[in-house]
Amino acid sequence: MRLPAIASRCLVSLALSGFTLSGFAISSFARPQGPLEPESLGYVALEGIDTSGSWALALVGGDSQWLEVPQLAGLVRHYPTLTALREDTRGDLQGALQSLRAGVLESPHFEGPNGTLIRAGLARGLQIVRERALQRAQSGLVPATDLFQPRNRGAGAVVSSTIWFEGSEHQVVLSRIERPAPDPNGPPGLAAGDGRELVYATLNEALEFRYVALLVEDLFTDVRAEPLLRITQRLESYDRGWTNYLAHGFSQYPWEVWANSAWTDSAWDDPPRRQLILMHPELAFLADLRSSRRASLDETLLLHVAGLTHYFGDERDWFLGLSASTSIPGEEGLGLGLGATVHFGHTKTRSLVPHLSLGVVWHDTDASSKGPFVTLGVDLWRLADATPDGPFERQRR
Amino acid sequence: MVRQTVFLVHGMGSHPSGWDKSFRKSFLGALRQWAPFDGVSAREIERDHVHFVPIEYDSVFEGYRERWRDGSRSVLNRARSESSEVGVVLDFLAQNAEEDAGFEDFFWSHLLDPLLWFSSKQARQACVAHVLAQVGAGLRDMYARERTNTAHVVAHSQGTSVIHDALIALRHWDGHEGLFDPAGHRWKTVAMVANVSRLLEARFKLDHNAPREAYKAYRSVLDPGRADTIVENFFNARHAADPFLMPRRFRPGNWPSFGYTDIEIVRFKDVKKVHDFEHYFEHPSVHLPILRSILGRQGMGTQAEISRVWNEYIQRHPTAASIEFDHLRDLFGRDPDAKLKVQKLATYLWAAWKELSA
Repeated sequence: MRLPAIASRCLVSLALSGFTLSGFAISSFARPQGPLEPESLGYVALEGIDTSGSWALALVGGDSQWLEVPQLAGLVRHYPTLTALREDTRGDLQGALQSLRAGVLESPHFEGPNGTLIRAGLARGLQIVRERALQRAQSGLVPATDLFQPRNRGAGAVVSSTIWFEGSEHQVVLSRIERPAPDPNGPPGLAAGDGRELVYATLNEALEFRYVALLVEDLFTDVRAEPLLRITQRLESYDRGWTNYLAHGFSQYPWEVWANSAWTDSAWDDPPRRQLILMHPELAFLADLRSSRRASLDETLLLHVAGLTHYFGDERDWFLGLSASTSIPGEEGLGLGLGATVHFGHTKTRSLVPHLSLGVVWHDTDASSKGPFVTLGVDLWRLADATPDGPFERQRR
Repeated sequence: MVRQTVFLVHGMGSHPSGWDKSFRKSFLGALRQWAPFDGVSAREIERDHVHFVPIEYDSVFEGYRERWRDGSRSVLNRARSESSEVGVVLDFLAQNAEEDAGFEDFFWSHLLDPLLWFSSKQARQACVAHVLAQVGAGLRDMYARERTNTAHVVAHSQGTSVIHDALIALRHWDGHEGLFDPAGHRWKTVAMVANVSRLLEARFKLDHNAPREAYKAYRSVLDPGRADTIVENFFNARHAADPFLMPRRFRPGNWPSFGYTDIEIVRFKDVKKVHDFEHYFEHPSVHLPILRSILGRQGMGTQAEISRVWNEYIQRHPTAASIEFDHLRDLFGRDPDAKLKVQKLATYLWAAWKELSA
């Protein structure tokens, strides 16, 4: 056995006895300085390893072709199969992680000079994930599996696509590449990928490490499924709320869009509950209802000078508003009218006129008297909408 | 076989459905220049290696566009028939449109999106909500399909600002049950092509959970060097002659080299195309590092391949940028940190667009 390997095993023994290897604890850095060098952890670069062939992806890649190599079947025989792990332990995440850890500690396959370190790193990773899962579950958070996500770090001279537990004292790096300097006559800053490859794990170790990581990922995918469904439903609900507000709510002229942006409260996950109405013109019918003999129906232009609309429902399903309005009738003989308008609409109704504006205005008449007129408003913008679904939805169908 | 999930985000302007075809073509065309993908068909790559998720936000702006452009024409024409005063105003607008040819079209097709995104809180929030609904669905599909996190983002132009805000909003959202905190989910690759996230930085709070500061381009959780980062590898690609990047370039001084890659390119075939995604992605210095990160193949691209691809590239792109559009910098007084107002931004975008379309 080579001396560095003996040294590394001694260091692992110390680590397992409760000492840290080097004092590198990621939490102690305000700003991580990047992955630790494998050598600083006592790793030995293995030489004479054939890194060609599809199995080499187990060392370097994010690709999963390595799962197809025949060696894998023999290597992982003593681990629970993916299916068994999912079916038997879905309700017992802690137990599943414990049994995986036991499998790692008992495995005969960590035989290379770095085998002890890699096994210790993997076992420690499983232990931390288990402890964290427990803590997060107690805080109402979904258990996380970030430790078992391989990191793909660096685009410069030294890169690695297979770092686990990055920056911690039990970091595991299966391999990395030292690239040559970029060709000055070549593309700027682009170093070739076929540099010197430094390998720190044997094929068996790399395969087994990645297989266990895969089992952990798979296990957590099941744990994650239900919360993820809830979360996506919530996100879709916010989007629908915004669509209802923008497409089916009380329409807004450009100045109203900016006024509402500036003065009403909202968030991306909380579509507006209130909408300001400001200098909002609207076509309306005007009914003179002072007496049945004078009853008539004329067109008028209503100008809602100022008002407020409130939206109800989680997805802003309907609205009710009130505005101070002025009426500019087309009929000669009627002067300017002043009054109030109530706005109502159901944003989920896919009709051409999804809302109504019903008001009362007082007009001067030829007879020098003021009288109440009833107005029924029509949303000009909705009339002008070209598509049946309205704007904001064309690409959502 | 596990496929990498690539969320594609488009740039400014109108993007009707099917917009992602050219992005995919560029991506796959670039990938097929390198072993072991050189003999593999685009269809096989999509079947075995990469799954694309197009993310659009254009429908939000299209909503405003349709309602204001088509609606205003309809409403004003109706009014014109009844009022001679409205007719006079419409004639005046038509005369001015002729004098400044193309402005109206440019306004509706390109300018409205960044202006609304930049200046209207509600448009920005609606956009973020719309993008996150798609991102959430895409991630759910990804976990169901691949059973692990293989999520990457490739965004262009205004899409860089949109996805920037959306990813930060998702991280700070109090409804994600821990699933999108750094321990729960990290984006493997975030590739910003023609990054305007600093130019179009949020001017208002987007949510109740995070301060405005959280959305600052240089200080956000997208910085891969932060302990609480949500990104493993961040790529920032810019063309030296891209006029849309001149006012406020994205160039963070203290982001770490192990997670942040800054790529500046200078060559072009047609200077009017320098802002196009396809033009950017043709450059090996842009696409190869991004593809290495997405495919998890750091060894991809041998010296011989790089020489071949580079020689082919420079034959197609013979010119190197020097002072193209340099005069545009004067519009901002050559001050990259000058306070940006909506009118100034609109003036600049219009000037840049005129240069690119001259």
